[in-house]
Amino acid sequence: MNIISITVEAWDKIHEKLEAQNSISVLIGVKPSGCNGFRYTFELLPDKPMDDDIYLKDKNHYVIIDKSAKNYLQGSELYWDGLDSFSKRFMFRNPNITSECGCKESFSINSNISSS
Amino acid sequence: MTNKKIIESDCGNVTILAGDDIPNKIFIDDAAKNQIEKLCKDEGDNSFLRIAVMGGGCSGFQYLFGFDNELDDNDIINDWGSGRVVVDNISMQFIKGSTLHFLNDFNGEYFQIENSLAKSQCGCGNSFSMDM
Repeated sequence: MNIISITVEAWDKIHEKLEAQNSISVLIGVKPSGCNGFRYTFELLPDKPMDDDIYLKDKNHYVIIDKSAKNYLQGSELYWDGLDSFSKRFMFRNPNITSECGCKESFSINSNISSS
Repeated sequence: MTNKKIIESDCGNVTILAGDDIPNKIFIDDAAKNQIEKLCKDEGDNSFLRIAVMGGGCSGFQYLFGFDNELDDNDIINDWGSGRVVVDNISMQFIKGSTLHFLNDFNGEYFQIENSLAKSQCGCGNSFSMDM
């Protein structure tokens, strides 16, 4: 089973943005920051994932999950949406978080979950 | 010396520390103008972008964005011919001198207000705090 799922609309946006940036993959991570403790990071990469990477593939693009973020993202759904017409971004429905910032960009994680 | 300024509003008097030297206007970058024109055209009905500031969010104040097509007496209008941004006079006291950006990077496409009056802001920039 995949660590995360990605909605069709999010894949469409991933294809659009990777093509615009001449990239093949996007690496998703989680790092400490923001008013609620953590935030998601997105890093564009020019290469395909390695065999031992955790990744999802659609068409010719890859979403790679940083190994240190695996436990934090387990069971999440990545979607593309907005709080309103004025702000659209990638967001996660993440079952592991206990609270999040109003804009959902920063969040806290259930203390039973660690990065390794 | 601090220039305290008291403004009467529907919800009582608002005291603001900002100097009188900042003109009652905001700046809008080209990407934001393009996006506002596009959104308002889709919205129709001669709509314009209204920005307001309200109490709320994790940092004390937050920006509200909305479409509107009716002006009030205390509105300050920023019109560049093919688009308009309207801010009411009270909200303007919290954002005057700011620049409205539209950012399009990998993780999002969103408006952001670069506000020199804000003391700190939330991660996404939508909520901010001020010296009062």
